[in-house]
Amino acid sequence: MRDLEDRLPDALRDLSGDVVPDPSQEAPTLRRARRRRALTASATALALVAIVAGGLAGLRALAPSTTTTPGVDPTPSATSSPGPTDLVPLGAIWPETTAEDLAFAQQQIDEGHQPWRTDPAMTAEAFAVNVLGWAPEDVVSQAGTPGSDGTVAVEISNAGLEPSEGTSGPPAPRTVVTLAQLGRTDANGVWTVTGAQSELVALGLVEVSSDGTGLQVVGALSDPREEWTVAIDVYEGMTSDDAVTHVELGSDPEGFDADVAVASIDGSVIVVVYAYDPEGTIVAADAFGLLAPAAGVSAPEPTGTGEPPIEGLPEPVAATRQAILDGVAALDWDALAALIDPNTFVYAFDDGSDPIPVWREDPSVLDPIPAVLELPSVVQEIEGYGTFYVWPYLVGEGSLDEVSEQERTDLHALGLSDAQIEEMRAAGAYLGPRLAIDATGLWRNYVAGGD
Amino acid sequence: MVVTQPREGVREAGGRLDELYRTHAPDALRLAYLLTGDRGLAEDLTQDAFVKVLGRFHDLRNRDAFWWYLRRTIVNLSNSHFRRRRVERAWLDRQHVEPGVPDPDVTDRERMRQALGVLRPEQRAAIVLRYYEDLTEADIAQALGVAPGTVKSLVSRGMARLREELSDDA
Repeated sequence: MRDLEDRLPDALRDLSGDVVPDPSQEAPTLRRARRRRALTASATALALVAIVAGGLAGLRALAPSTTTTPGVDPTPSATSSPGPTDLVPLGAIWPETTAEDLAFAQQQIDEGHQPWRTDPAMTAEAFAVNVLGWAPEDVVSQAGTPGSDGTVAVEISNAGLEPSEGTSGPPAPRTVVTLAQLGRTDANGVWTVTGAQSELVALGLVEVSSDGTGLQVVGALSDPREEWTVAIDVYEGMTSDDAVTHVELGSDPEGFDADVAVASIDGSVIVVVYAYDPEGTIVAADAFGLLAPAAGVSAPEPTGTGEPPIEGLPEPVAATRQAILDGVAALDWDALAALIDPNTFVYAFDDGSDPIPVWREDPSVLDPIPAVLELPSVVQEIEGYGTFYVWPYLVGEGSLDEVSEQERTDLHALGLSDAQIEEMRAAGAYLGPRLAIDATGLWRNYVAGGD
Repeated sequence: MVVTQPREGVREAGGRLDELYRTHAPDALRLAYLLTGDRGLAEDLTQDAFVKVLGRFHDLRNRDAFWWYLRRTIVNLSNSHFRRRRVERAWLDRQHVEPGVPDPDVTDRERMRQALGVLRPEQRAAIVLRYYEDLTEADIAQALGVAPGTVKSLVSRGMARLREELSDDA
């Protein structure tokens, strides 16, 4: 018998002949790819819009400058007023980092797959296994109670790093994984990791370098033990298979000060700062998402110079509202398409088809949108679908039996005549144009009138 | 201030995407099959890989290296799949090892498929990339995101296990 090494290439080629591509998969695969590209572009746009509406609370929480960092001089810029080099965290880091991926994960759960994703502690354990590389049987988790913002902090540790029985030593470091339901918020909603912070890794500064081509990461291990080392992974985009820059920082007890070259493909990065023991096991990690310099584009402009956030609207909703206004103003069909999932979007009397060709045929159907979005919205909880922000508020009035002066003024602003208002009063309901965005920022419907 | 992809590029890419799919789909599917040993799973992974890579085609720094990006994505997706399955099994306490009862009637091809299936996913990926894709250790290390020394170890241990499995059948 020939040696295995010699015959293996032929054997593998022979085995690979078992499968041939199914031509019917080409069209749906390419459709998904084109949608993903549109959504990726949209995600960048939305993230940048979030600079205006956002703030730096998330980054402040993840990169506390108040940490005492031996040997380094943490500058206050990460927690000071927004400046040219400040960064804004993205909404999620693992496993889903785009609205499309989140929707797909939710669909999988709704179909009965991966039920563990509805449990924040189990999702945190999966993060420990997949990102930190811990053996499943070694992962210990303790979930906290949900915060007022709906997030849950899950403390994880590696039992394999605890002192052996009968020996003494420091306990395994704890890492707190923060999770949120970024889509549905009921018992069947998927949980996603939005960040991680360990008691071991103390970050003093994380910011875009002054020349805008990379990140500066400064920090130290709060409990540096012999031969524990630090490394940084920077994922240059929002998907886990994007290029990752790996920087080994060694084991200097004085701390680390790293400049990591970044050329993000979509204007975002996910940063993971690891601490390793001498065996190469990750003992703890900090992880967070940031906006960063993108390849071929300039760094984000200074924050705080755009429009103020819409009062009462969550950031994703406010960002989508603005993106809709921008897209309609420019009749930018690609931009509008990127805000929509044709499988779930409802327009006119249709459901589940792509509205863009229809709107392109007759753009005037979009004319009422700016006026609609100028009015206040109402929040509607729709069972099985989650929270919707619906414009105008008149949709939620329930009855227009009596039309107040304010309502009449607003109805006129929507271009409705007194005769049409009278029809609505007689019908007892608002029948004008309306638009809805769900809590994740996905544009869910636009009905120009009627029904 | 808002960064978006150039729309002209999106239109231009339409035909190119079709060509890329048709050119690489057979190789991608075969690689995914060798990595997973499961025809249906290989089809799913291949489609997901195309969606991911074609979905950001304009962002690729070197578009001529499309196969390189696609191969790396298939390997990543395959490894992620097996990691996820391992996690699920542990949590749901459903783990059960199929007894390795040799079937005297199976073909050499099926023996090879079964033997590959016994390897750890990382070992299987390293061996497939080495002996099917004919990559160097450095290229395998890049594709798997591990150190070159780790590749050497993965291939060595994987081959030892493979010999063991196949010799039982011989």
